[in-house]
Amino acid sequence: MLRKLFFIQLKGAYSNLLRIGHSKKTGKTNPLVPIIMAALILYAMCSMMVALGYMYYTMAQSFVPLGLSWLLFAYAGFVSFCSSSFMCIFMSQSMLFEARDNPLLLALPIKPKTILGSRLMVLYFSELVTIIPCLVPAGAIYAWYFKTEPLFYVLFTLTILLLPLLSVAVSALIGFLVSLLARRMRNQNFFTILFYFAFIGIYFWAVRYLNGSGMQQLIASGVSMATSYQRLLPPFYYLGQALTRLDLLSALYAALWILLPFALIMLLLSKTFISFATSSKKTKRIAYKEKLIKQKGLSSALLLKELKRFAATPMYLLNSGFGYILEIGLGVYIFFAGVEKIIPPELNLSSMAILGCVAVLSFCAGMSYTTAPSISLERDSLWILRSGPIPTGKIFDAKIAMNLVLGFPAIIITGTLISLRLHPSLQDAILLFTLPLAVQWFTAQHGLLCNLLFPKLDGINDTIIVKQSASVLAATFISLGSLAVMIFLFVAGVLLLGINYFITGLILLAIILAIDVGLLLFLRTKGVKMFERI
Amino acid sequence: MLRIEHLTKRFDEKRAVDNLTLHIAPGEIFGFIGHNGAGKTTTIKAVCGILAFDEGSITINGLDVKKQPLDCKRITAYIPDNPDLYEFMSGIKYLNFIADVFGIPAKERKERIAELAEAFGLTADLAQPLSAYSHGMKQKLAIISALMHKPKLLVMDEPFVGLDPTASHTLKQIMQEHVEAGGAIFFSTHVLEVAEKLCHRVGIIQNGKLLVCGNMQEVLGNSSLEDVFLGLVEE
Repeated sequence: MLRKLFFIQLKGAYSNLLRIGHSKKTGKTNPLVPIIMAALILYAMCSMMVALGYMYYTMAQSFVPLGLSWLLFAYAGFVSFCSSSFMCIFMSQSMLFEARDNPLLLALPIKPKTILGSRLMVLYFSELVTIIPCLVPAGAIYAWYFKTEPLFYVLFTLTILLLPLLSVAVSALIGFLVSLLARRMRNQNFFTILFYFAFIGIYFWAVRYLNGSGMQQLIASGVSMATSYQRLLPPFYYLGQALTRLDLLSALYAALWILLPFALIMLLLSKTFISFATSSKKTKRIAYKEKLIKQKGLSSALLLKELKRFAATPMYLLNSGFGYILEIGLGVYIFFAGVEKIIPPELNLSSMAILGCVAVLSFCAGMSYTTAPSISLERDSLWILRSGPIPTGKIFDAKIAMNLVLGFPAIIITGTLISLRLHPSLQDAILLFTLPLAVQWFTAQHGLLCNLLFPKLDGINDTIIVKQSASVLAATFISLGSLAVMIFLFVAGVLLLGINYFITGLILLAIILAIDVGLLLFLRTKGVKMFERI
Repeated sequence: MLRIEHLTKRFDEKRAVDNLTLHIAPGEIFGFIGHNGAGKTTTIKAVCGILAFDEGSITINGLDVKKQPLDCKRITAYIPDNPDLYEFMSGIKYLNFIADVFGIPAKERKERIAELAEAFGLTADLAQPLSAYSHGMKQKLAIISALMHKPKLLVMDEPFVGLDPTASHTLKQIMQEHVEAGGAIFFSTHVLEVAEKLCHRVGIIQNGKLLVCGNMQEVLGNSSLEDVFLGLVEE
């Protein structure tokens, strides 16, 4: 039963990815679509592994002469643990404590521990898939650097299999705490969002504190870093010792440091799972008072609805709106700290600072894909929009407008803060504001198109839709890919063709705006028909 | 009021609705009965413009559902069997949203909401988030939101599911008042006793085909609706 439940839940969690390319109308699957998606995912994973591999190689060159080769694995283990915990933290709360099928499963003759176990197995699988590309490059670099024995490979495989347990434990504990506290709050969504913001802040601070602000500082402070790991992160310290010295006692300590917290948290979950799954969220009753009602136009009503959903759905806000937060963070950071810490003065690239800011702002705009899951998030309530006298074009406008209402001010505020600090020329300022705004519009529109192509109306919860649906993946790839093309075209124009950088920027702007207008026309015509077929 | 002519809807090879024709005049309550998967919800969704259909035509008050969809939707109200509403809104905010969609002036909507919420005993819960509503409360709210703009045609998919006896009684009264004022109602139900007492006309659908359609007295004869239905289905 545990195995069956696990596969059902896994299928449910990743069903949109598994059915990609499947047409409901024809009942057939276009084989090219899953192949292309798989190729893109593989490409992204391989790129990440190569980048990490290069980083580990550079670290190995510095740490090995200092006798700190274990620090390579300690660092890699910590990075893998942080990445996987961060990626799965939202999933753990919704999957463990807010799953919609909890009442159904609990009513069946299935032990609650089996239900909980199957969900934890799905979490473990998700963590494992995230840890492997982070950790394997470290093992590969070490194996290439040193002549390793077969025992190393055994211990390394065990590390890959055990480390996700620690991530599962931590993300489950945080999910438990958020659910426990949020239930007692009147405004649960606000509390959840606030909690996760605080968590993200602490997370980045901890990573920076332990690993430094850049590669050079990381390598330069190897000895002090080693002391920090030994003192503060014993599981990773012992992992490093076990893998480099092939010390079984260190391996045992590492395993205990992972398994004991895991066991304790699993005990906590097993004691509280039923009460969580069956209790209703107790909210303080809000007394109804008749208030003055203002009539709004259709467009305003639809836009307000989109904004309300965005603000009330923590996973939606934190995932799809992360770009906005990064933008403002960038602006504030540069305003107070300048660019000297990002671009070392000795590189003599300060004149490129504005162009760098344009690229980063465009990246952030590309990562603000609120439209990519917006149709899927309608789920079973899509009938409200379909049955009302609402032109489909207005529905699209509201979803795109929501993205722009948040994105445009964020870009303008960030651009203003950067300008106040760096005092760009008029030409630089024009590029600083216009290019990211055009990219934001592009992101809003292509995200909606992706959702029209890959709708997921049967998501078991909002987290699955926002984090794992095919439309979100496609939108992410398109954003990253188009940013890469933009940078390539810019560099080609300036360096290869010798065109003035401002003119090149304007040409790029014209291209993006032309694509934006094309998308607008497409959405108004074919897009409407696509929506009506969903 | 409602004219469905030779409606056909296919899902792959299967005909969910097969050459269905029925008419509903103003002042009529039409009960639509059939087993699970017979094609009731497909027909209802096609009437409301939610589902495209392959053949036939549907007109509401002379307006074609395909050619004038927005005009049709302005005079129609739809209540689904499972009222999935916007859980991120409170009851009153949802009603205001629907009122904005239909362009109901502020003063009028305030009066309608007060009247209907009082009738369904939902006034005290209007400020609560919809996530805290039970199924029955959501059903009541969906009914209130459908009636706010005084539609000419009310289309309901199993509206009595989840309603307490008081609310069921209130809904029946509202249905009577609606048709007495010249509106029409097209609703599906599994509760045959309610259909027998409430409906002027009835249609029984099976496997996408309309087996019988007509005046309730003519269809029933000396039998109960349950006997007629079971007899037809067994044939």
